[in-house]
Amino acid sequence: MAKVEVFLPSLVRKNKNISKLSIEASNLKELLDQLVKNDYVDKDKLFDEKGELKRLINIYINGKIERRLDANLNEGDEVSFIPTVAGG
Amino acid sequence: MGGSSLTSKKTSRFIQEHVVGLKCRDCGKEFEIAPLYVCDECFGALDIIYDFEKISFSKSDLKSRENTLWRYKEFLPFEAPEYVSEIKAGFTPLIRAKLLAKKLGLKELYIKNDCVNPTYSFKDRPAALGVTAALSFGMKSVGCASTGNLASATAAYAARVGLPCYIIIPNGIEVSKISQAQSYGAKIVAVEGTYDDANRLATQAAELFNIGMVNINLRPYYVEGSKTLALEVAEQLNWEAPDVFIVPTASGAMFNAICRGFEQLLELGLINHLPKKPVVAQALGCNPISKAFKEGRDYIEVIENPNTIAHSLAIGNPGDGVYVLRRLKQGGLAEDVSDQEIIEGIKLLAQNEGIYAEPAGGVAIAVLKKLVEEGKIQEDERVVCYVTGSGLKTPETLKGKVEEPILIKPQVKYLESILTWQK
Ligand SMILES: Cc1ncc(COP(=O)(O)O)c(C=O)c1O
Ligand SMILES: [Zn+2]
Repeated sequence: MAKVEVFLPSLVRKNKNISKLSIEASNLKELLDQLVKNDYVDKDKLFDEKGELKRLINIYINGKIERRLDANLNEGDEVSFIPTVAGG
Repeated sequence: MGGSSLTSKKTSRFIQEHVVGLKCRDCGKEFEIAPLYVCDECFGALDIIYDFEKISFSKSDLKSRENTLWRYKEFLPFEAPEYVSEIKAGFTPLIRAKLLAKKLGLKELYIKNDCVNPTYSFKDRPAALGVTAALSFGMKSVGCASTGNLASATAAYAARVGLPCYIIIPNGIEVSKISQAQSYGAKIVAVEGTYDDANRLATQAAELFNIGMVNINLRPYYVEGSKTLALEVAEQLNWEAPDVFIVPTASGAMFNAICRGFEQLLELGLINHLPKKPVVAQALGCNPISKAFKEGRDYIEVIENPNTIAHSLAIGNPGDGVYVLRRLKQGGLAEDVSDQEIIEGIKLLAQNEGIYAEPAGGVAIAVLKKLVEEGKIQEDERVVCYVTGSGLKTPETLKGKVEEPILIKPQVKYLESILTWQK
């Protein structure tokens, strides 16, 4: 288990007042499960009908895009959810 | 969408009556006018919806209007605040490039010279709209993520409207672009990383610190400014669309906006056909869109470490990438060129037409040359090449690539051996 910092944009999160969270998880899938279980996000916000991560949302671990749900998390990692359509 | 959608408009200044709302490009969900930029269902990009039935517009209306991008107010969300429009962005010259055309083997070539905007790149257009959007929504500060040119454009308009400006750039962009942006009083943060790192941080900053990041949370308004690049070209060609237009492309925002501009002109009956060959021009060292196009993909593979002298085009994860690919499927081309070809492009343009461009302009010219040589652009097609930024912003580019000045003592005899062409 590793404690990670999660940035949840208002677009994704349910409780509009929280934007940063500290969560314990050992990989991305666990983290996503935690977010859903603790009611921070709705499952169908992030996943499509086929259960796949929506194409137009990117997850970054310490600034690197990661789409593999079994990607490991380490203590102090920064996990951010960012829409692809931004910038430039 | 019902009348209730108009409620928030009353609190936003400058917004025009025929601006109805925002619409998701992917799922079609509609939203009221607000500082939103992606759909809350599918994260697709939002675009402004206009009700063109509410307006009457004819070509002759333009006669009495100012020569700035604001002359096309029917196609823009906002009426210009004076202090934004008075710096006179847009309506840049469309130049018939006879010598360059001849050199390349074309009959009709035009250069849209956007180097001559107030901050010396096309970014004046989207920044003017983006900063107006921030004012309209009552935001207290603005900013952007930038590969260089948007930094100065945003900072200049922020200065004009008296808002603080925060800019996030990747470390290592051209020095002149940074000092220009600093001159306007902006606070610049350089990130040890790529543009995509800067962009991600700016997206987070927009939310955490409530900043109007013009190309992020104000993006639907911002991109409308670049649409005027299509409107001007159509007017300057006496209301005919070109056959081919070439756009130096990074995020794809400008390319999409230009396409949308031509589409809206067609919708209003102001032109009678769309350009048949829109061209995306990229640098080989950062070509996520042209690579996907050539490989027949409908998705982007991120370029993790862009490596090109065209710093302004170094976006490895283009926000509008998938939308650009979608458009190219309907017709169009994408091509990329090496740093050496980019430098040749800059020189070709300067030496034949007297226009000194930054590498993005060199990319457009080099791609034009390549496509003509490959027979993908034909001799009798009418071509418009967008040259989007001035060479004065990137003095590093030609260092060592042009002849050094010849140093002499101040006596006329020393000129004799040099200025032989005078005899
Ligand atoms: C001079 C110049 N040309 C073209 C572009 C590409 O614009 P876009 O990111 O909208 O594709 C940029 C982007 O910064 C630029 O600065
Ligand atoms: Zn949507």
